[in-house]
Amino acid sequence: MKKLEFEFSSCLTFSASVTDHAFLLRCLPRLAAGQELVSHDVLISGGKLPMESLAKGRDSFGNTTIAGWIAEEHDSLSYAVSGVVLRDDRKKEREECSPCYRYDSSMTKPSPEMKAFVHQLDLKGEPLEVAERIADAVHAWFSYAPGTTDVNTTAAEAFQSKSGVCQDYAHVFISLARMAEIPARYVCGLPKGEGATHAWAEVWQDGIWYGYDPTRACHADEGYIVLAVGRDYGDCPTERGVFKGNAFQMQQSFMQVRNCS
Amino acid sequence: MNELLMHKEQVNEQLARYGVKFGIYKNGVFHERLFPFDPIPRQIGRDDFSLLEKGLRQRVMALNRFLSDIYGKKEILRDGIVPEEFVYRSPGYLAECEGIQPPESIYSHISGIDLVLGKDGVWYILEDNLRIPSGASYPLIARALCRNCSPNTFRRNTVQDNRNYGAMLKEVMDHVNRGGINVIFTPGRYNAAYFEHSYLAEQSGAILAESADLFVDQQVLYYRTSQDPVRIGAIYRRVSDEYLDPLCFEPSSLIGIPNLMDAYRAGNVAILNSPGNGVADDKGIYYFVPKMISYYLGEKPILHNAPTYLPYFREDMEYTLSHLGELVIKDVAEAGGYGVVFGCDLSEEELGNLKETIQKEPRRFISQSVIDFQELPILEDDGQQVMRKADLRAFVLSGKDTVVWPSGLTRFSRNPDSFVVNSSQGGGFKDTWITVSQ
Repeated sequence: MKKLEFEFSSCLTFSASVTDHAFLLRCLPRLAAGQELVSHDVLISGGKLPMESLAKGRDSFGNTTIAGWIAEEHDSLSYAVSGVVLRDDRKKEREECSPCYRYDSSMTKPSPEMKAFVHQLDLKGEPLEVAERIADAVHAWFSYAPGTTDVNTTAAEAFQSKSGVCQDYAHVFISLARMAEIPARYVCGLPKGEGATHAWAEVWQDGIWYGYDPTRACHADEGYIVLAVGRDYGDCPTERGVFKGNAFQMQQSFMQVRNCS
Repeated sequence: MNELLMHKEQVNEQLARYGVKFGIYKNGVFHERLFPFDPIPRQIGRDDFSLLEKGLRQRVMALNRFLSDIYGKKEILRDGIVPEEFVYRSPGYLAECEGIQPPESIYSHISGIDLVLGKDGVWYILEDNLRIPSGASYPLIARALCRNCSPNTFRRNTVQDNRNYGAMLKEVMDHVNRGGINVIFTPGRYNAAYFEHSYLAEQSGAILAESADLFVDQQVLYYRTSQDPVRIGAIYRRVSDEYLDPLCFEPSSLIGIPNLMDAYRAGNVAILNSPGNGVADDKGIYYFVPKMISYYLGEKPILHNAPTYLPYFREDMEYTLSHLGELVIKDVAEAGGYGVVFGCDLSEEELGNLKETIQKEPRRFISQSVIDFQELPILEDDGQQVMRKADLRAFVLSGKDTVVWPSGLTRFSRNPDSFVVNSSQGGGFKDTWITVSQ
């Protein structure tokens, strides 16, 4: 069991004023057995946005969402969340696996090269053993290189280029795992440490979802806070928005997770 | 009847004046075409139609139950009636809709079921359209124009009135409305069915709106006016699922409404038809509809599917490969008459290639026996009548009750050798009369 203190903030600035800005955030820790949100604060600001106009919801993947709408002119949107999370893997409860995690999703469709790759790994055994081997293989295949891919890069494209960031590692891992008939899903979240948000993956065995971090070739243990899950990145970005206006957008994010004293 | 036939040109001219057009994209360019109207109505006797009604209601009720099950408990998968991968590999299945309970549990409010009448006198279902089936407006306005041009025809023939479609649509919208006005949401002027969107709004008393007129605030959908925004309780959207909400589906969509899905999930607005319905009108799922009827309703299917084979099953694969020359092969991901191949039209080499493709991707295709369906008389410009293949799209509305509109869109092929009647393939249309014998 671990008690973690977290903060996560992000600021979007626009080069010119924008209007009719609709957004959907997944910036709060996901509510699930094994991850208890002990306390939290949310601060969202942009234009004259009143906090009480934000609408909390839950998407079809079980993630907490915050929806907002700013009609008036504004040139930034920022959000900051902080709080305390109690992570305890022993408290995870058995759950059914939605079949959607067993099939290709739009960003994880395997290429013929990936099919050959997984075939050549000659995977046998329990899902968790297999997942571990896949995580190691993905880690060895990739070299970590920010800027070589973007948020729309698919698993097949990243695999081809052999380089990428955590999102790409996770996508390729998921794609290979599903080919090996192991249910797998994408996770976006906050690991212990500081810097940017992170992505990893979970595989399902006997009712429990287990976390793997192929970027770091390790288990996603109790030091990892889950924000959102989905079939791939497209289902669970921490922030999505559309607005009217002719403006460039810049984003700055920061997160920190540390042991709670 | 002859009096009505004399007015063919006049009715077509008026249809053109009303803007009854059909838009199609050819090589990326938008073309607008008149939808040619043939004045000889398809006539279906009241007794025959009663049987159709029963069968169509049964089918749509089962399809609604199926959708509710797929996005809910998934019992039909657990019981092995439908193989799981037909659902999860279907492009119409949307994981983003898992667990959403639409108002009154209705998924397909407006269903367009395509049928043909075989030469054996049996009606066969060709396909179910549960996403945004279009076409009701064409016979609707044609009937009104025919009545104006030739009122005597309707005095002498006992034709069941079909002009209540707008009222039926309003009743469905009112039934699922979550508080607020009814809206018909169109992608805009350059959509193939724009005439229909505007006409149905007029007929049902709903507001016709485009994406710029609509926004979601605090999980409530609003319509912009010059004064305060007005709350919307039901939205009959004519925008397809993938473009409906850029924050949930295709992020680049400019014709959607951001956070509409959030409002829908919160239960504050009804969306007609529900997003995600494509999983039930998939050509692969079609095969299983008779099984659904027995499974959910415990009844025997009243209407027949065309004899269909799924290469996914080994037996059906063998049959398909050995009879390819006499079957029609359909790509399950295509619609609108695209992706349909008649084995008899193919050369030996093409047949060989197709066989290979089917073996490589069995899940992608279905094969069907070619149904020799009845031809209907068409009035040519020189006054001659010729026989052409025709089908029928029946409209089934699900609100408080599931009812069949006593009319329908009859489409015919203008090409004497073609079985494909889709309007996107250049066909024309007829009114459909339900006649009461005196």
